[in-house]
Amino acid sequence: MASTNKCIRVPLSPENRVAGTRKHLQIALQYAIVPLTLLLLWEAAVRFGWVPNSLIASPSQVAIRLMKMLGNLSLEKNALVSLKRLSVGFALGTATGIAAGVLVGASRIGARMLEPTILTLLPIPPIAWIPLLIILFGIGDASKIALISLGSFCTLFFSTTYGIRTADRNLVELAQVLDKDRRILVLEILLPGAIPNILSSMRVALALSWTLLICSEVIASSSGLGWLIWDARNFSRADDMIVGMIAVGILGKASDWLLDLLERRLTRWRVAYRELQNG
Amino acid sequence: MANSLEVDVSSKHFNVNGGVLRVLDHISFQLASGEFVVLLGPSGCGKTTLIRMVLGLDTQYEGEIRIGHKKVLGTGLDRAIVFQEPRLIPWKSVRKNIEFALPKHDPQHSSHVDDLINFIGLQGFEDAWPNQLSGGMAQRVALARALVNLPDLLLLDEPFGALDSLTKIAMQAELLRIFEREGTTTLMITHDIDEAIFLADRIIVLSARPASIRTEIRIPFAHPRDRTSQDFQRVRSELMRIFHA
Repeated sequence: MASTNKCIRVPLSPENRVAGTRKHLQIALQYAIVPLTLLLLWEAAVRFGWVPNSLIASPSQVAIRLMKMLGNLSLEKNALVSLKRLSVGFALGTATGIAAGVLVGASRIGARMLEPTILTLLPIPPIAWIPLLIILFGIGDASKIALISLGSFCTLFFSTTYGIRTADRNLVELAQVLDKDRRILVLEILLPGAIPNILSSMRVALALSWTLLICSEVIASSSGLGWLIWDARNFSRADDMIVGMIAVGILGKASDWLLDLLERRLTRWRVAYRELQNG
Repeated sequence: MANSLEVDVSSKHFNVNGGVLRVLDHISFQLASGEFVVLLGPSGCGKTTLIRMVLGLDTQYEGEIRIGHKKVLGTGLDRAIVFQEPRLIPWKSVRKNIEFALPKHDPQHSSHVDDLINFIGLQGFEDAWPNQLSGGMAQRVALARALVNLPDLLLLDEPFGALDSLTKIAMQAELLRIFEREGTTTLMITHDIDEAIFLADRIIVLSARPASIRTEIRIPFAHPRDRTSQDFQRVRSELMRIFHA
């Protein structure tokens, strides 16, 4: 074996391999240090009574409760209800927001007809719509979906309009020289050019959608993760409350990750700073 | 032979900040079919404005521009342009960028596009994004896009102005090779004297703004032209004299 080692240069010498493992450990530690410290502090705070431990559960209590709620499906049921409201509302609001944004950004008539109205409604915080939406749609799914749609619509309308209006005029001129009609100009030049804007604002809209979902479920609902959190608070079940919060956190992160994947897929043509960072 | 392009512009001006900026002053010339003509003039003299008028992007002027005796009223696929910058669509691959120029996608064109890609030496880069190309390669794609519709008139607006000098010389030879194969009537504008002498059948020299035609020089010697030859240097000094007069 020693002789082969002399003849063939192995890609990683033992020293390098150790250095490589150490590097990986270092990176893992960089990821883990903040959450681990927070968990330990939290556990300690409840155990040593730094916080009222009848009102706040420790991470270990929460973990046990989480397993139980997964086991009796109560967490999954409420998560599913919330996810349905979120995805339908987000999809509806995003689609109509992009459509209205294209119409207003690419057509002067569209802008005259829609823009003043939308821009007047835009400054009203979506939360202020909740009472009206409950009157109109009741306390079931419909009012939550409407609220989330509204929030996503406003965000996407703004960024799509902006993205289209700031399109590269040289490319517009190119389409003109090549005798392209309006449809092709919009679909192949203006809209793709606005995609980076649209995708980054979709992530903003998604975060807003989670906020609006939980708000509306806290205010008036009998199901969903927001209801679960609020109901647990009303019955002083600290562990349930935190399980609900953690579920929102994990699902929120997962949904953002999906959008991040979509963004990378649709904007492969760009050389972005993050590719340089990732080497 | 029928004239491919007839330019007869008495005046072109812009309204700038309440004032009037005169850009063109009595520009009149013709291009015979299959001719390669270079408009040579100082930077900012109004060359690009003239190109935009021939393209039909700007129709506000006094006079007339005709292609094959038909008055130019707007843009059309009988004319093609290569701009100073490649102006490729960043989210389309090399092949999709070339195909974008086609009136509508039909499979018959596909072999023509392949042929063009091979001809300009971009095989293997069909699926590359524009931002992965060098400046010279990107400008080759722009040339292929301009040629894909077999235009009657090819317009070149300082197409190699942004390239380094070695790439520029290579691209000039490339352009000549394309011109010899396709035989497309070509109008090029540039402020590069050597480029003009190397490529043109005829050089039309423009004055500073408002641009008017100072003189016209026919380049009698055959391609490929040797930049170091005596003939070349003679024309070069003549043009230098005109510009410094």
